[in-house]
Amino acid sequence: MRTIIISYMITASICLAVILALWLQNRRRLAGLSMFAVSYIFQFGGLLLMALRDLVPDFLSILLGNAALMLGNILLIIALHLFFDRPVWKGHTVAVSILFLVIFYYFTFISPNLQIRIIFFSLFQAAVFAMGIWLIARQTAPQDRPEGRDVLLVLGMQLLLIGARVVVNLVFPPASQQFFASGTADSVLILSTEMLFIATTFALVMMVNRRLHRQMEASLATRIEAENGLAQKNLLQERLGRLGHDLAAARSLEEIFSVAEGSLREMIDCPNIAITLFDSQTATLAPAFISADGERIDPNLAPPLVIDPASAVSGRGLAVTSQRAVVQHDLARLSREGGAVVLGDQRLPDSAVYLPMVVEGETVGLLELQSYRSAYYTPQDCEWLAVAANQIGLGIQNARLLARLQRTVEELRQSQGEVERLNATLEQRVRDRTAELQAANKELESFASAVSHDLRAPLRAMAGFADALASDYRERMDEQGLHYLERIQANAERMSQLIEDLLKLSRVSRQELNRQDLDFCRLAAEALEEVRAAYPGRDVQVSLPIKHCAVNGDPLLLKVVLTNLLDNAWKYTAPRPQAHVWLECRLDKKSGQRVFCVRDNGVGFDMSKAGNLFAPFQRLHSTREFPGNGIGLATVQRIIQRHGGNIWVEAAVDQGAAFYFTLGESR
Amino acid sequence: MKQKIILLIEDNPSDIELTRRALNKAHIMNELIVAEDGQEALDYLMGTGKYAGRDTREMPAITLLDLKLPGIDGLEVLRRIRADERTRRLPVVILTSSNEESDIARGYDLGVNSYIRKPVDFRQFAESIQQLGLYWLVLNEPPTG
Repeated sequence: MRTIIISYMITASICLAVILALWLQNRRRLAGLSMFAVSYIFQFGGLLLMALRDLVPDFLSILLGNAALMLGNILLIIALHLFFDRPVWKGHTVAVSILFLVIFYYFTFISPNLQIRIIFFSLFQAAVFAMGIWLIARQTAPQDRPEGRDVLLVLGMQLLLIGARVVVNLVFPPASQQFFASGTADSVLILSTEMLFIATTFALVMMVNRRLHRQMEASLATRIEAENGLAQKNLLQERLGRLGHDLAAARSLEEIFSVAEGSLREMIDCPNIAITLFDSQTATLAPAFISADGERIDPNLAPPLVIDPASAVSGRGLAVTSQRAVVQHDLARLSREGGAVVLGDQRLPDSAVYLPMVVEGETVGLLELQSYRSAYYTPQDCEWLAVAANQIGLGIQNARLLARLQRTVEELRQSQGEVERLNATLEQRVRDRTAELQAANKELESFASAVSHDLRAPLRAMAGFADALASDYRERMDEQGLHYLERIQANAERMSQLIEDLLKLSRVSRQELNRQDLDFCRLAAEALEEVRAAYPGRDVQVSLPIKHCAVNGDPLLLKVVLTNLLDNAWKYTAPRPQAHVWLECRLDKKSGQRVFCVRDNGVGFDMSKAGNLFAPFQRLHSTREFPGNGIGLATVQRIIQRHGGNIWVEAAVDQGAAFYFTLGESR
Repeated sequence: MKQKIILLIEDNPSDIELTRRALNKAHIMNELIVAEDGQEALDYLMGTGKYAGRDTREMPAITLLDLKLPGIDGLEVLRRIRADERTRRLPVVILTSSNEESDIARGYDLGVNSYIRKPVDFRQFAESIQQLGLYWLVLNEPPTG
């Protein structure tokens, strides 16, 4: 019997070694392993003490040995509790253990009875193991139960064995109180117990093994899951990046919508997509893009939605006012309750997310996604969808700016085209007019040339032959005849002068204008000198302006103007005992123009008859009274007109005359 | 020495007569050749047409040229005179009724020696002719060859 106990001990020591090795390797990973080790140490200690019966005092061997063994068993169960993360009943354990020791002590030393002791011990042990079975079979989490399968089996077998031992001891009470002198049946039982101990150890190792395996699988699964998540996140990020890139390349709203639609459908389940644009002034969401089940719907069919920022309750309203994504679940039921008409077995979308498109703090619009799946859009989705929505908003904003820019450019181009067209028309008209003028000038020139030649030639012949008559035939003509000849000659001379003046007038019209800045007083002085020389006998008092007076015009032509006007003044003041001529220059405040004036105290004229004063050959006085041919004022007017100025006259009979003129601005 | 010739290119008979009279009045007795149109004048100078065979070494000392001529006009005659090697140095005076500046300018451009406007008054005309004759026939040294 002792040999059996010793072999049991050897087995127990090997099992202890196995458990210790298990403990050393996995103590950090698994709970309860330390307790298993302690349990095994106690069991080993108990067995050792029992094996040393008769070598050590009975007190140590029997009481302490059995106590250690029992404690080891209890600790095993406690270890199982720890392993399966179940609460441990410490107080009860201690109380029960003490009760066990007392009873055991009683049947060992006070009333020694091996049979009762063995049965009591077995029953107590059975109770402990039953607790273990109860724990594994009922108390552990369902997913942990398979781990304890082997232990459960072993504990069951322990129970059976204990039952057998109790029966054996009842049927065949121990022959003697001598522990090592037990019968064959008892020996078989102890051997079986030994085998079960090995099985228990094996089951524990298997259990730990299963637990480790599960842990590894779980951690692997977690890692794989994490890696998958990362890859998905990367893919999402890449797609978001591509969306941003594609949006930046889009030029129109239409392009942006189709880019957004394609990209969103790639990234998430969203059979229905709508983009509405928000007008902050009218607080209106106007649909701009709707795609239902991949089919485009005219956005004008959907009515615009007015958002009351103060009391927005709808998902869309909340999304716009809070500038945050709003998820709506259970849409199908809400729609049905809201009176949505469903045709046949038509499905209704059940999840929706409303994503405000925010650019620089401004809500550009709303991106709406719908899915037929229930509770589909997650807060995680909302995070990246918000990024996508803002990107789309930016794209929309850019496209609008671009459109506005293009409109402006187009308008500019149009107005420029208009200006160019007008310019071209104007230039053409200027060219036409210039050509006309040139043609007219050419005609005038050839006319002048013809007049110059053809009118003069016969005149010269008349004058020449009259002279021949007058000189060669003087003796043969009476006084009357000679008088007639003189008349012929005088008229020829007068006609010659007329032709001369007419040519001058035409030249004034044709000559190129050579405008310069001039001094009016100096011009007047030069003209005065000429006129005084032409009328050497006359004494005329002249008043010139005191101040320097600037004038812009053609010096030669302006001198012709002044000479003509002064010549007239001289002529028409001839009857005055004291002739006076005033040359004046003043600034007209109303028009800002300089007005020049040549005024005299001559005979003047009746203004009512002055209508055609400036037309060629128009005269108000007879040639006999005042010589002249009526070309002078016509010439003056022509010159003033060519300067872009005006000429007018104020006069009254016997009150003198005043000729005023202005010269247009220099071009 | 041979008498210096005056060539008058003029189509108006009155002007021809008056010029002749003015020359007489001024006592200019040089031979006066009258060409009544441009072609005749060129024929005379180049020894062609009506004047074929004329000794063209004998050139007028002064040519009086009217501008308004039938057919080839005065300025064209002048251009051809200046274009021909034999006559390009010929003293030519434009004697015309026109005092259009364009005519004067074109005349000088084509190399005329003087530009005289015929005055309507005969006495002034006669005086002009006298001075012309004095200058070109007496004072002026004609080109040789």
